[in-house]
Amino acid sequence: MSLRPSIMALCLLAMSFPASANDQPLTREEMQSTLFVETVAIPSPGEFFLALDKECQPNWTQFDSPPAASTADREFIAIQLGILMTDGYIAVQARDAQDLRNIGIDILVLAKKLNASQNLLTRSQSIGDFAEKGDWKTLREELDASQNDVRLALIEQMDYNLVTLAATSAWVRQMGIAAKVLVENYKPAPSALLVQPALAGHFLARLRSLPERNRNSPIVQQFITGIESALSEMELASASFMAKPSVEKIAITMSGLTTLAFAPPAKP
Amino acid sequence: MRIPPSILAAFICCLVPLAATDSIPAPVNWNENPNCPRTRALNNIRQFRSEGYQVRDGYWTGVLTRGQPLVLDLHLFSGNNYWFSAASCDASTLLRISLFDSKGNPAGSEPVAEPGRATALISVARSGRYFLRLEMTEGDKAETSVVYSYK
Repeated sequence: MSLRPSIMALCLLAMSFPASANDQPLTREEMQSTLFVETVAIPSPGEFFLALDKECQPNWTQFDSPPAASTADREFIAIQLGILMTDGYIAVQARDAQDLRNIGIDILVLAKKLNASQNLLTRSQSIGDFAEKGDWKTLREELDASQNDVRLALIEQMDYNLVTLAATSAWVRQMGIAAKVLVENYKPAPSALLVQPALAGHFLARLRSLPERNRNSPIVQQFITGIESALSEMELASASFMAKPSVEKIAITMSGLTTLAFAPPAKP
Repeated sequence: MRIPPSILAAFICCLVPLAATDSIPAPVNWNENPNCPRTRALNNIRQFRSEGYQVRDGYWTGVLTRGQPLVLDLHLFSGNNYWFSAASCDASTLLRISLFDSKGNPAGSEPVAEPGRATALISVARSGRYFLRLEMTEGDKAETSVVYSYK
């Protein structure tokens, strides 16, 4: 039996160039020892909204930031800060320079209360300039950098609990907005954007590992319950879509948490 | 006694990469000199800004050792394209980035490796969890950073 020359050539090629490591799947050990680096593993709101925009082209101007109720409670301030950071990206999606400036002022006020506004002053000036020029792509990067500035300032103060709360509320706000968009014009394929069980699990773990005093506060307990409920819906979903009732439930749960965050209890 | 913020920052910088960080925020790098791996990794993907890519202000930095690959968790969204970039502070090293889907199967394009740096592109068809494996294929060990951009 003689092999055809083309088959022989293929066999020779295969022998000469063994499969590279890139062709091999991850081993079980590698899958079990992955590193979860927050600023890499947790997508920025900019990435999420960009994908949502491609799928649904929502009317971004319909979303208003909740009116902030003044509070001296640092937990509430951190939660509100996270939500407003996400709202900054919504203003960029809506290409609304004035709204972005207003959100920027609110962010500065809140960050100042947490002593985390050191780098934001310069940043807010450049955000204003880019908004004036309509450079929305650079604005996403600037917002990302602002979020990191606040995060780093809080880390420097060792306010790790506040970092957790701000990051969690930023994600909750994204999920609430996306779920609202997806439920208004439900289609199965885009609903898969909401299937983020690893992220939900991560935020739950972070909240549950807060010191008992923080963990037991009513607002944190409500966030834990809300994210648990969202995680249950994600676990019901397949990797390719989430059923409409689940999307509706996430929309209601997450927007409820946002409302709570902007209605801190009055001091006795 | 009040500890100066810069000393505190350097202290956190040393501590954080040691932890397999579920409870501590991600590694921090205050070193912005042009030879630091993060700057080199960023320079590596800035070329794609003209194609509409936006750079994420997030990264991993740590010491990468040959024979001890690092696997990072990712969450990517369908419809988006991502460039991942890694660089070390030692140009005599060779790095390789490989991307994998949620089941650990190879995903993304063939990675590009040059002395001291590597890139990989992925156009995401299905949203979800992905993994990035970073390995040193030549060299001993070096401080290395990973950054990414998206559009």
